[in-house]
Amino acid sequence: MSNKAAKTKVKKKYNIPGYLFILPSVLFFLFYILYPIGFVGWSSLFSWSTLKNMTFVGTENYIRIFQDKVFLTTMRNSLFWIITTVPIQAGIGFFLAYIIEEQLRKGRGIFRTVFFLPVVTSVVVVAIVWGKMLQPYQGIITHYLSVLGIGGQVNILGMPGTAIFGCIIANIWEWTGWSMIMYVAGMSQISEDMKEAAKIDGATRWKEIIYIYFPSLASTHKSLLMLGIIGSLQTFGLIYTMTGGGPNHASEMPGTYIFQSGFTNQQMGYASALSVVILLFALVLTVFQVKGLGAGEFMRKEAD
Amino acid sequence: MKLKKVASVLLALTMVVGLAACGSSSDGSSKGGDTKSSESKDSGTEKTKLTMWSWSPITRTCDKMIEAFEKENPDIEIEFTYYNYDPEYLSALSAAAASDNLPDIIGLQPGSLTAQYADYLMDYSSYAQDEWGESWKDNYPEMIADQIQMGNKSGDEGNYILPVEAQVISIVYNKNVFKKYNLDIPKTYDEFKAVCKTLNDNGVAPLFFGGANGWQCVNMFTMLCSQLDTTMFDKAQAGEIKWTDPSIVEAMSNFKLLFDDGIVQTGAMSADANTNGTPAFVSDSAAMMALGSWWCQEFTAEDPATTIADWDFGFFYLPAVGTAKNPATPVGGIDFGYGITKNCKNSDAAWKALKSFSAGAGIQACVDDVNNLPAFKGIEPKNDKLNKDLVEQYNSFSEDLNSAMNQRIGEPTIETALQNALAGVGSGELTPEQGCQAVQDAQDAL
Repeated sequence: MSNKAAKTKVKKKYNIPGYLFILPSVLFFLFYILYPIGFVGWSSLFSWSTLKNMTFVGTENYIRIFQDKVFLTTMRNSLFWIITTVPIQAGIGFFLAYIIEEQLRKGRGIFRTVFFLPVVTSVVVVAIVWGKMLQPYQGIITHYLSVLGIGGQVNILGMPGTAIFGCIIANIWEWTGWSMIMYVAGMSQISEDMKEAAKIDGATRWKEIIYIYFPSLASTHKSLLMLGIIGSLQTFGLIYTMTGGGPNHASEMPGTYIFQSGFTNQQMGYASALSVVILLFALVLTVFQVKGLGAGEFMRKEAD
Repeated sequence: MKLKKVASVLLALTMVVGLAACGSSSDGSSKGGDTKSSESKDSGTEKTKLTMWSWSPITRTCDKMIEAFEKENPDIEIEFTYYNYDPEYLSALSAAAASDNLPDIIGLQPGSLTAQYADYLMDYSSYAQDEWGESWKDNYPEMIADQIQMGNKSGDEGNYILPVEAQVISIVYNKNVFKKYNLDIPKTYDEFKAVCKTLNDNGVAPLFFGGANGWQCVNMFTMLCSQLDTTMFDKAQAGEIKWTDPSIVEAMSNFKLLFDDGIVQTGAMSADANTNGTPAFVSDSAAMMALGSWWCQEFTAEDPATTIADWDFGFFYLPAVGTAKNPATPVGGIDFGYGITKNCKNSDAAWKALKSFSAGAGIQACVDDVNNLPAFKGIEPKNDKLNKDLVEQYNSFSEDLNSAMNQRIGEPTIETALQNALAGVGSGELTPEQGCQAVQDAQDAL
């Protein structure tokens, strides 16, 4: 019996060293990703603030979410965030990359580094500096706006209508360098033959951008779109430091709202339910994107 | 090739071993901790170790506080970990509670934070009774004593937070600025408006308000409530009156006036009291701030600004605003306290520490640093290096604490709702009525 069992095992040819090699990442995935997701899902059915006082409430937390005005605000802000930051960052990043890679003769490295610096700067530093610049009282931006004659003291972060856009501006400043680097990488993949062929055919610089560069970078656009959407749903540090989600939830994003519900308001069950809803939302968006637009560069290896 | 194989096997092995080590490390360390404390009990020569986490008092004072205690109790050693309050401390507590790794002593705020961890905390009542007798709570001002059980579930008579420091909130003013523009402390609302107009005209922030900080909004609001009626704030919390009660709406409308009448600086709703306000205040470009007794501690900071070193600051209670007839009364509460967790193996030693921090050498060290007011009655600073005016102000705050109105909110959801409502009203997004309704809605949803 034991001999037979051993034989069948041998036949199946388990590649044990191979599995050993992926073991660390599998364990990491199970304990640090899958287990927390499962736990959050389970605990979202309870009303609790610490593990000792959990009471089962079923789907009550979920029902509350869809009656919650603040949740709608976070969804609206996420939408603003996606439709403003993704195209603007990509657009500016694209042209920076084009100018640095194709037009500059000298100092490419320096410019690449300079524009990439905000990405590697701590988000809290970015948020504090931008918060200070946008201060209506003694802030540098309002100072120059008033020098230009634009009325009084502009209170961007303190007004419910504009607070989120103040944060968006800072976010664009921070992440444009990232888009630029992605495009720089993409542009280096465009073959010289194509560019030369276009030149021989008499393409203007503008036409070259539209018909050669833009389509050739399709996978970069898609990667940036997907990363941008996921990133906007995860935004936390910038908002938390700049406005704390205020005034009166006006600049609240899913991340800050989950944090506030869980840690400040001590409603861990509700915060868990919010996390689950956001997770599902992100999953649906991602699946839709992968199906509809293709996966983008970073997941395409198998197809090649 | 062989070398490659050997190397890869070694690599895989180190990974697996590394993981195994990670997996068991938490068990190992906790076991280690246990044995240590039991050993120390047996031998008697080794010190009893207590672990303690808190965000308060600030490190320079905390070091002195712990040093003072350890000097009196050479057999006990405190291992202290300092956290920033939000979010570091709150999330550290939450994680430690979930994994049953809470330290022996934790810093607490009265009300919701204490209530949240009540299940993990030891009721210290019997210790307090043995120490100070049945009526031990008389050692603390009445309002402070009341806040000890503020967040308790109904029927729970346990005492979990032992008050350490307390505070009174008020308006702090910069005497240099007042002198420069020939201003007196305003007594009426008209005088207050006139003072602020002069300051605004001269490009100085009148009352620098950190509207982006929820605590600034709530502190201001409680002061405004105290001008109308010292009981309405607690009644609304207890559900005896609604948050939409005319008196609350009136206080909310007066809050709006601060913005409409130019009492606070332009754009106050996006300002941060600590990062924007304090620098302006100590450099004479803001005249007033809504702070409180804890402002005194600036004096003992290392390398203070010259305005601080000369102590060019004074305090007054908020003059009657809008429809109010009276200035604000003292408003305050427990700043922080400590509690002993059920994890604590040596509660006798932990109680000794708590007693020292609340009523003994520990709190004396804090008071000598004028960190914030002592919650325990009858403790005064004994530090010759302090400015005389400062000590006088400090002692008068301590005196006022005895008659102060409660500033604390027991339910965190209500606190957040009130902060948001005030931000909404301050920024003009909500009317005072709508703001009050939003708080009431939050109360109803509980």
